[in-house]
Amino acid sequence: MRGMSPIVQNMARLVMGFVLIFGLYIASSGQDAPGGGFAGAVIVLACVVLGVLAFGGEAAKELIAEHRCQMFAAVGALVFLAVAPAGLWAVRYFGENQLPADSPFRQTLRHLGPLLTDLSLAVQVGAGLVGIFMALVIATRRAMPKE
Amino acid sequence: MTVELLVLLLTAFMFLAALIAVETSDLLSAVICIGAAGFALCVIDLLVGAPDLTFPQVVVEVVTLVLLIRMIMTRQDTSRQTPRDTLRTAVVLAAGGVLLVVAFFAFGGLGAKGSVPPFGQPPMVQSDASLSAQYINGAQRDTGAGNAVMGILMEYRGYDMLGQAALIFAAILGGFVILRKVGRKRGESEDQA
Amino acid sequence: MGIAIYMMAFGLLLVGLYALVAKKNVVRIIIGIAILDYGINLLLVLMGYRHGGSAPILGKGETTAQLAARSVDPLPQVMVLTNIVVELAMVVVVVALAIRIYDRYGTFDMNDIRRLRG
Repeated sequence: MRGMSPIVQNMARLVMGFVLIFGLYIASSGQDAPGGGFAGAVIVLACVVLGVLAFGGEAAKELIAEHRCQMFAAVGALVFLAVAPAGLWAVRYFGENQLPADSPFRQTLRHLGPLLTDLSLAVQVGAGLVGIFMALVIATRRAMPKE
Repeated sequence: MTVELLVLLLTAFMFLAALIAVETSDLLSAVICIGAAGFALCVIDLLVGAPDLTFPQVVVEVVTLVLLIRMIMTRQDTSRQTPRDTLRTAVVLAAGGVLLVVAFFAFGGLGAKGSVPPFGQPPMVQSDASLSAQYINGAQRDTGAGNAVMGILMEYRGYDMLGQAALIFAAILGGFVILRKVGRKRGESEDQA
Repeated sequence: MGIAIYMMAFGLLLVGLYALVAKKNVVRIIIGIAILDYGINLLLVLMGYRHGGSAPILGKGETTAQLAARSVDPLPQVMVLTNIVVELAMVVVVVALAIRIYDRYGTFDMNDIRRLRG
């Protein structure tokens, strides 16, 4: 897939960073506002789609390696899997009643768990979908008729 | 009342767009019609108070559209216009008719006592003992989440979420396997494949 | 009016079913899968709606009792939220399969593919 005109490329270069930050914000603020890990992940995916459309598949392929995406997806899944036992351990270790309910430590813990879950989910889903999108772009390019 | 009217119109629009997508002869217009139906669904989500669903739905819509259009534009559609398969169409129409009639009475049409709560009155409105009412009453206290949807998704139904994540992981891995260029042989490293 | 909305959503499901069963083009089958997903999402979200309800997000200084008195049902939304991403993963897998089919047989038509095999 070839890239588009320089105007589109410059605009994409300007916008992509903001889209990425917006995706991360959505992923990390799901507890009190609309959003969450899934939504953040797909917004990050939209950023990559924009980049591929503007700069072409070749440039994007140099930036994002497939095996790296697979690695990130696996790491996200593992972190997601690890958060639940970690939460259980924290509750058992520190106890429900040893610290007052409004102590900053418990407040942090209470917010850290969902935040970690959300972010790991975003990493897993986002990296997996980005990798598979790149694989699909490469697959579609190979079947292009010769011009 | 106006919200319901809007939802009805948008649902009818989705129905028509889906029908055109299935029946039109050009694949590209079919894909664009499916995109129209999806964006109508996003608007319905906003109208019925589900902003959580709108973000993912919009982006999923865009990505699906890009993928399908790429797939169609880079490949020639050589399929001929085959006559409609009458048997299968008849079977689907008959089954659909039965399903519609059953659904009509299950949703309480013609004053029948429906087994599904009527539109606009989910079970949580009728009793405080329902699951949703308990979730929404306890969400702030139990999970500290102001957004009840995320509270249920991540905390009350965390194991549900875990299974869901495993499912997505498996689907993505399956996609990678399908798209791999050459099957790797036993004992062969990745570089040679 | 509620019953009309529900029937429309069911019609959407039926259109998807029809595309899955009666169509011979691989792209149309993918479209049928997508329409089925839309129908299910729509039906679930509509079942959670309440008259004049708003999003189940706690406002500033609002108590949970007030929230429960005004918000729509959050449980169906949770189901749909997970379904949307699963749907995307599924569409990606099916598109990958269709690309593989085209690379191998050079067509999207199920009739031709079957004929070429035998």
